[in-house]
Amino acid sequence: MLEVKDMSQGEMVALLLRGRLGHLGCSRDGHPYVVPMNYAYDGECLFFFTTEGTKTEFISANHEVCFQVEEVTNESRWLSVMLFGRAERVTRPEETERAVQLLTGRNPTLTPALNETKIGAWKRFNNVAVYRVRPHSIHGRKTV
Amino acid sequence: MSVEEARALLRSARLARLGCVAGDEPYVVPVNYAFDDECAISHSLPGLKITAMRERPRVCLQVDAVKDQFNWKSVLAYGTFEEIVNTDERARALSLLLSLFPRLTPVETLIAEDANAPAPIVYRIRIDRVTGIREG
Repeated sequence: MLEVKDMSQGEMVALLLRGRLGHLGCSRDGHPYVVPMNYAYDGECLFFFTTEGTKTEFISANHEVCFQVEEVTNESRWLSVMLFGRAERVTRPEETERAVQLLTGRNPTLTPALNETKIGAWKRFNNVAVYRVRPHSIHGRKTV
Repeated sequence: MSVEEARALLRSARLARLGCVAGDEPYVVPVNYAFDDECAISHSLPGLKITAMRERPRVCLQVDAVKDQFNWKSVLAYGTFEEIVNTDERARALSLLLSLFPRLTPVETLIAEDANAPAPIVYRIRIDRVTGIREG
């Protein structure tokens, strides 16, 4: 028999820390948008980067986002965490540098978004937006 | 990715992330689903996502197939939430779901254990637009 229960704060933080790929949910005018996204979590805030496009347009229109991270072994063995917060664009150079260090430390090959931009190095952020989400709530469920 | 390729992934996958809007905030939750006649069929106990979809029936389903970071596909399907209330349609939808997911989901477990448990909501997302991107 499958039983589902809420995850503890510690379990949710641990899952966010060890994960690399999640799903970003945005909404604008009542319409949702969901995309897979690499991320980094420093125990307090979640960071992700994207090229200018649909995602940045959605976030500009509505900064509230939902970031969902899961570990699915099969349909009766899984964990899933949802983090809700406001996505703020990171613009100060030292903050950007730190966010990029976090992200590149975990995603050294810069995929999937960056390789499409054909930029040669992380130092050139011209059309790359780095976002920070400071969560106002985190929820998680898991199978027992 | 071609629309045909995107639809093929949507038809063959069993796990999606359902995106809906609760209040003015996005809400993303993994769901198991069956694909039947241009609709994704799933079920749920009453709760936040059902309330959100009743209020704002325009939703999306995101499905991906990630082999590694250089070889992946992601499909986004847009559609409209509809509750399946007709008894025959509901029975057919539930039996389709149970045939694909024979291990009990939380919903059936609850029903099996407690006759007074709330009835699961069976619903379809009627897909009207599919987009897909891939690498590799």
